[in-house]
Amino acid sequence: MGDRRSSESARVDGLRTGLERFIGCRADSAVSIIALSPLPGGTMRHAWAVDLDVPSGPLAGSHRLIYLQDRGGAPLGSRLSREDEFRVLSVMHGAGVRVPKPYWRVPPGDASGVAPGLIVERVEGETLARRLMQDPAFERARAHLLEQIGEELARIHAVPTDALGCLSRPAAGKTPAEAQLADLESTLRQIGEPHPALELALRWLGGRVPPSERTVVVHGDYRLGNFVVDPGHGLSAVLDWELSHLGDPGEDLGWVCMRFWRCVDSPGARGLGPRQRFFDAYAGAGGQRLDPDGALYWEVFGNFRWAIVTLGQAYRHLSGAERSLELASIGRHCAEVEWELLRFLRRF
Amino acid sequence: MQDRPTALELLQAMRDLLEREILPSLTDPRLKYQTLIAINVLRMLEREVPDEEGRLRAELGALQELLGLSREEPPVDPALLRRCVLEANLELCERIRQGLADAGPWRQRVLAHVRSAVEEKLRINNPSRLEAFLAEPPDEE
Repeated sequence: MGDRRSSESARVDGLRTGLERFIGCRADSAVSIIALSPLPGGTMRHAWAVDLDVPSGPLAGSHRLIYLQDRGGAPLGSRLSREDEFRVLSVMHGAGVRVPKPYWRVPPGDASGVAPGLIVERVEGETLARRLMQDPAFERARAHLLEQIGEELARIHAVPTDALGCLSRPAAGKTPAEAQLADLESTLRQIGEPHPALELALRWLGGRVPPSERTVVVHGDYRLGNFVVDPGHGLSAVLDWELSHLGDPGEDLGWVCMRFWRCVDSPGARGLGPRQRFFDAYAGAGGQRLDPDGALYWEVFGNFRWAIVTLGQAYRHLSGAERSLELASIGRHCAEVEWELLRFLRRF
Repeated sequence: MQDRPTALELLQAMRDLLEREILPSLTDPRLKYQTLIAINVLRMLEREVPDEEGRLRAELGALQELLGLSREEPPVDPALLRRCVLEANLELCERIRQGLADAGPWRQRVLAHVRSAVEEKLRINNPSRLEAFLAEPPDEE
């Protein structure tokens, strides 16, 4: 145990020295890291809380940062490269969307010895859905959170897409839904396991593709869990832009409505409020209103996509791309998504 | 036949160790989180191991019925039995892809079968979620 502990602290010391060197070069000043500690969670990356003191230069002052370390293995098909994620964060930050301010991208093979990743502002607040839903400390924030989430999403969807040529877009001649379904289906085929519920969903979705009216920046994982919430003023930042792409705004709207995130009320569980309040806030801030068929379509679509994501995570483990019990166990979540899909499909 | 402890008893012993001794000694939040996942996975296996073959045989029978396949005696070898269930499910997927379950009475049978197969998976993977699902009021439409 003593050996383990000392190798762990050597690892932390090594990272501290590397980060001080990396940031020192960019801050034009010797910097010191006052605190460095690992943060739990995150299936794709290790995250470290970094408290930084910069004595002089343009960045003089103290900074509370997060270092998001890339993990081994190729990213899942549709995940952004770190450069592109950094660019998305910069564009969103510049457009006034509530995101952590991006500081630096640590490129692969950097001379500081720091592993590749992103360094961004650490926005204080709560992200865990369970606490946001239950903790009395968030009662005030909870009352308006659904509206804030709707308004912020309208702001994201209004950001011009021309500065974001790096994001994937639907192939020529295909609507966003068709293009995404083709990608998701190819992942399902690649995994090769039989999932009759997902095949039923795919038939249903493929036969009802909505026309595309507008192409926007889709966040791709817009839900409780990726919102930093302050007990006083509510929504402080939208995190996790790795899955962003150009597509139909309905995709984010349907994703929010999925029961698993507990953003909106579902038949079995209370969320932050009825989905209508979210749709109204989104439309009130300039977003487009979905008709009931469109809303249903994108919610089924979201569940199908989530099911494929859970299989893909398990497949990362099974294929050896990244061995991890956490990734492996996510595969067993697919069944609950299949249940939810069948709940919709039964009506047709 | 293997001597006791049985596979189930060993899984329980492993979970006890993680829950009672390892978890309380951990300080690194990431390791704590990973250990909680491991405990949850062991609980899942404790539900999965007993009578897995019985469930596979039942699923195979239901699939043969649904697909109109001849109802042969299910293989005794567990690996072969698993293979048969997998292949029958692949066949079901293929028929769904061909559009055979898009409408009509067979669609209703497929939906009922798939729902009960998913229910069986949930009984192992997440029984409390299943219980909540089953307690929900039926859909309005």
